[in-house]
Amino acid sequence: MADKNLWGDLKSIEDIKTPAAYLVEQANLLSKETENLLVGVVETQKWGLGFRSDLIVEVPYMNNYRYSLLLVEYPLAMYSLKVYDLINKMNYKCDSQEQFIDSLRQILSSPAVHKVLATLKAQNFSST
Amino acid sequence: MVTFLFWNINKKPILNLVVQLIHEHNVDVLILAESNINDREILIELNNSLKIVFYPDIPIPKRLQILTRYPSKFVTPISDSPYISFRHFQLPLYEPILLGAIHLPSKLYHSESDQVIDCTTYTSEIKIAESIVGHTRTILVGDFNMNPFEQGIVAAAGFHAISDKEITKKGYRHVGGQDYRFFYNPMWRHFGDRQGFAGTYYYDKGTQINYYWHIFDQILVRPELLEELIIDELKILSQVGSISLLNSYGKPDSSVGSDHLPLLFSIEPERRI
Repeated sequence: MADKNLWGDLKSIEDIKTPAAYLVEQANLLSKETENLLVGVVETQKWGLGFRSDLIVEVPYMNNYRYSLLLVEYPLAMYSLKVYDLINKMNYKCDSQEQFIDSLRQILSSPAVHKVLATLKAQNFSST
Repeated sequence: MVTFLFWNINKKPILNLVVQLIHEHNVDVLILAESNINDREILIELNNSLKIVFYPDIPIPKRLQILTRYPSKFVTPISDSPYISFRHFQLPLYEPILLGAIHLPSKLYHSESDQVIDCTTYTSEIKIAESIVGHTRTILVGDFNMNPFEQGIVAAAGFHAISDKEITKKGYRHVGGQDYRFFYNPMWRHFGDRQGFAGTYYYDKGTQINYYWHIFDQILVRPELLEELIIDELKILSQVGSISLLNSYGKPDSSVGSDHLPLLFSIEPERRI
């Protein structure tokens, strides 16, 4: 007798990315776009009943000097989650993946974040 | 975030424990008192095993060693007297911090009255250092050889360090026609044996007054840094990895570590952008 599939259609199960995975993507992009003058790092840890992920910029030429840009707190179910913009000093509550991506875009493309990146990048070219 | 480790290592050859603590807690600034280990030895051991490197301090004889992971252009020596060394941290994108590393004379050689009077000299040094850097975002750390409740620490003309944040926020106190700036002393939170030990240093003596445990190792912060000190990260450490720094009676074990316990704390300085 053939095995009965009690799972239903497993192929149609959505591939869901964790908030940390989105941050890792952006961190890698930062490293690539700046040719590793600035390196994006994501650190994820257990936080209460869920997780906390920090997006940090490291400057390799400055002894891996670190500067945090933002942090995300999310439950196991992932949404809704909270994003803390440490540069513009604003918080976002995101009920969906779309809102989360929007808030990331808003923070990472903000003039203040770009100013931080420019300042850190400039450190590479000044003597120690 | 900047993480500091202070430890009076009592001339013990315990570099391995110091390095392990630096790894374990991602320490950025190391301050050692009573160290017989030279900077070179420490740097070789540290920089052999870390992704980051530590830089030496200025090579002058002093009672304290200060090693940081920040290049020298971000850490300016301000002054070194026999008992206090000041360093000015100007880290990119953060507001500056003035660090005063302290190792005051032992009670073995100075009476309590001597200590109180000496404190007025130290506070003049603090004022001078603050006037050189042009701000009062000051943190003091070290072995004061006095408890938080002793006169030299509390007196207005001494360190003027008190246990209440809200009072400290007033900035200063007017006494006898003069204004005296406050420090906040978070070490008061560490009295009692909740942690299984009751201080940073243990001394049992056969006199009428015997506290047994002392908190000689302290940090004091100016009101400007109150909100930047991460209070939950301020810890008296009794473990290095799986190694206990306490003996089976729960007292500092000098055969393993030092007669003092290390102090760990972190500051998240105000951001400039």
